[in-house]
Amino acid sequence: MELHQIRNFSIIAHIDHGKSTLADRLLLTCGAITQREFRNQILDDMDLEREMGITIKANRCTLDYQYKPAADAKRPAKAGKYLLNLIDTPGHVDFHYEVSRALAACEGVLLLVDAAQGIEAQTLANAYKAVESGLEIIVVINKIDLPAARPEDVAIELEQVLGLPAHEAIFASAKTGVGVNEILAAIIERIPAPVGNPNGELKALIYDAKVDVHRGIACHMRIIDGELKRGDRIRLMAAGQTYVANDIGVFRPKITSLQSLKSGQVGYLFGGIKTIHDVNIGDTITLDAHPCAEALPGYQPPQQMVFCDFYPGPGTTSPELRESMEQLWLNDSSFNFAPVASSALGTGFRCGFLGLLHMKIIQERLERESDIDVVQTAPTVAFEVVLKGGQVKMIESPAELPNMDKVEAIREPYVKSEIIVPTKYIGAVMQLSEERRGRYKRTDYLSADRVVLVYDFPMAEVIYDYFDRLKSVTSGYATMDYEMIGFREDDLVKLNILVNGAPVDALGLIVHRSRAEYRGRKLIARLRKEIDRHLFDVPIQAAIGSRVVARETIKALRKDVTAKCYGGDVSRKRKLLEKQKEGKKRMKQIGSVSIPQSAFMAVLDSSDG
Amino acid sequence: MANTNENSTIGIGWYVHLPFCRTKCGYCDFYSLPTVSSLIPDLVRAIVGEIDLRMPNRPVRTIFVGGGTPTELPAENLDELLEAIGRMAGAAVSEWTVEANPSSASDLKLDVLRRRGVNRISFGAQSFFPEDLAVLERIHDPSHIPESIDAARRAGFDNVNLDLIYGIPGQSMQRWRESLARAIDLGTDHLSCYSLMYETGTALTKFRDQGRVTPCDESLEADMFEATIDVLANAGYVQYEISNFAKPGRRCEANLIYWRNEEYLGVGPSAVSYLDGLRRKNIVDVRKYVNWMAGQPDDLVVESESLTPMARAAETAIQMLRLIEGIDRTHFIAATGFDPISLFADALSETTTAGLVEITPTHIRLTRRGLLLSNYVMRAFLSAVEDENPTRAPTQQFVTLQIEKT
Repeated sequence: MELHQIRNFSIIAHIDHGKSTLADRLLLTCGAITQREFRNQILDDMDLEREMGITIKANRCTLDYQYKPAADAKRPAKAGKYLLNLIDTPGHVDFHYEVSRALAACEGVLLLVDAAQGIEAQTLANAYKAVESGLEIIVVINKIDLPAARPEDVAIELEQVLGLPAHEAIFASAKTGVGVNEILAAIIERIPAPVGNPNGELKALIYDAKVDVHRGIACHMRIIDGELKRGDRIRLMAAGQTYVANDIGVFRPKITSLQSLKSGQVGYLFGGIKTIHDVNIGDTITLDAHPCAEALPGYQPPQQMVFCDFYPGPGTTSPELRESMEQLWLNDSSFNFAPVASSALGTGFRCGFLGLLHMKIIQERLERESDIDVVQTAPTVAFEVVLKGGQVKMIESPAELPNMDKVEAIREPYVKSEIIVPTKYIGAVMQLSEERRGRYKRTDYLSADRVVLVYDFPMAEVIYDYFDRLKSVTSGYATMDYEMIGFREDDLVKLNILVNGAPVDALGLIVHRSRAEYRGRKLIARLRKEIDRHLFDVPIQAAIGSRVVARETIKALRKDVTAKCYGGDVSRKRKLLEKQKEGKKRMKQIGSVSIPQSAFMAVLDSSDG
Repeated sequence: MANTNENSTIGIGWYVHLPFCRTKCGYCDFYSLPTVSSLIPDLVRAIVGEIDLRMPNRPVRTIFVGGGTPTELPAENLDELLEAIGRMAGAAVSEWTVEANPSSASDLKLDVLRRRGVNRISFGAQSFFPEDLAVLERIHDPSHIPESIDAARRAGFDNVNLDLIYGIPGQSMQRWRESLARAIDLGTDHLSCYSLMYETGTALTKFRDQGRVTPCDESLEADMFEATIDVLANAGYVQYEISNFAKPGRRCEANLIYWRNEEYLGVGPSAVSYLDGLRRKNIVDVRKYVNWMAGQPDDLVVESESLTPMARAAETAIQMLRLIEGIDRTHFIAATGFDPISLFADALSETTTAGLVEITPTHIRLTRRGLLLSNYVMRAFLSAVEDENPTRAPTQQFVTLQIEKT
């Protein structure tokens, strides 16, 4: 197969705009799957993805397509057999870096937009990435079979916002199959064939790596130059390790072995690689015997933006949690973890994630795949602490904050966010954004009744409750995407929570001074409800240094008596007391105060309840 | 007599449960239902049959006929039942109590009780104020209380108890003190003063959960409890259990059996027995109960539990803690084989430090503050026995103590 007969492409879209269904439809049309196998979201092979309706890990398939130009084709290509490599991408804001990786292996994308919903936040975010990567963009307006479909309007919105010519948009329905041949023709006619030197030294880009339960690590790669043959000894250039390419081939969509892969092709490599951490995504594969002169530029490693602690829940031990996390980590290189000890919650792990959803997914996968209970603390962001003397230290938890005497300034991460919202909610969103320390940038009109509001936000506000509040004030109509733009200095303080005078490390926060009292009040009001009364008064305080900004008191228990207990009540009474006692045993001691673990959870739950 | 241990009083208790009431009170979680007249003869027959089947060959020290409202039974059925009970129980009975509602104890029935040997009567008075009685959904009128006591005295009862309740929604301290004063003025021999409990599944609990009833403030309830102790002490009543007060010589022996975790036979629907280390509960439904004789004796039992020595010790401790005298150390060792001072060492250290418990040469008992927080103390005691530590095997310890004594 020659380079000019190959096309490498991805589908990018906002959640629920039909990406997986379109992928399935392309597979069906090209004969990669049968009608029987054509079921929704065949490419999403994790339960969780199916349940949450999103794609987390990028997927892939190589398709054969017999192309014949249409009579009215504007840019007909040469008729004949083509090899189409579909590289699927995740849709959610947390997984930008996976999108970037997938896009680096492509020459073009299908930008899929729901004909009824129109442009949403991730439509824009993903389209910008494709533009930045210099890819050809084919606009596909999907779901035109819906009664509310307005494909022409959506095409015009796209032209206005992204400059993609409306007349080139393809109207389609992945569900019914309308427009699919047109899409396949456009892939061949409009997306450039890959460029490479088939006769050069082997140079292949690793754009993903996945664990196969039976066979170890599969590198997903795109051959740029040269040829890789089964049995070749290969070298991972950045890692400096060599392996034997035991098995190579393509996805159709199941793995299908081949004797060789050539320039322009996308496929897999098994080489006896033990863990996913032996593989650097973005690394270059070359032949050990005839290495290429220069590696490909590669990728920036993913940046963990959101941090929280995982602790073993009831019925789970710390070693069990560690083992499960290590197991999962072999599958997912995008989160990290390190042991942490908290006086309130015991021994756990400080974890870094790409975003909130990523955190949620990792927690759920841990619980589901290893059958363990995970207790999760409130997510926080990383801060840059400028020490007196100018040294800059990165901290991932409020507990790591040095003594404030030594601190010159604290910087917090900012994101640039685009919020797409019907015009009638502009006021509500602006008010909420002001409250959450947003800095207004501009408003772009998508159409007469929908706008893009651009704000810079402290990331801490976004992960605290902004998402939930945004959904609530816009009746669910707003969509939002954000990306990290750097750290900015602000008046940030450490807020300590003290129970009976003893600080509770797990509940400490770094917050903006203007928000300290609000957050403190909320937190201690919740905590108060969760702590049982003791034999003495228990004060609960929120304090910045020695200054108390909020206080509540749990009054001492005066009476806890069972008035009546006769013959028939004895064993019932004993069992009741034993049950209460079991509850007490599971509590954590903060000084002389017993606090149930559920209290930490209720308090740390970041929803604005 | 088989049991010659000087530390335990001779004989067991009998409890007879009669489930019928005129109406169900909103706070009550005992098994009771409106009287079904057609079932009464069968119920009497079934109870007499059960006693006959199950009575252990041991002297009977006390009898307590409760419910429900035993005096809801027509005089002739009551007579038939009490006659049979008295005959089977024998001559060792020193205390025989029957519960009554102030509005259901006619002279005729009181005479039946006396004639058959009942020597103690307990009235569910609850309050002397119609507002309180309405919240509790009691059917009687406050004026019924002195009338019933007069009638009981006329019939020859020299041992009369009133049950009273405090912490009733809307009840003030003043009103509670007034109820106590009236009970004292009536010359009552014994008073059971309970703080209102919200039992699972009762109408009152439902009302509270729905916000239709506002429970008494905890602090007021604690004040009422303390006031009760002081007022009754001044009037010559001795508090001998968390909620029970008696003139000298008038403690309820039947209830003391429970609080010492001693043995008793319970008969009738839903009644619980504790015999030979086995706790068992009778079938609850009265219709199924009256037919038990048509089936197998085992059909009577719905729950049964055999206590481990450790669980029995724990249960004995939390029951004895209810008594003002507390845990009698010698008695406890004899009954359970464990020395409470070592078995509950950690709990004692915690609760004595907190001022909830005090240790005397012979007893372990709650302090005044401990009385108010007795559940806290009991949980601490239960914690001591949660793991069955083999080094604490009861028999060994028992033997050791015996040797030390000799």
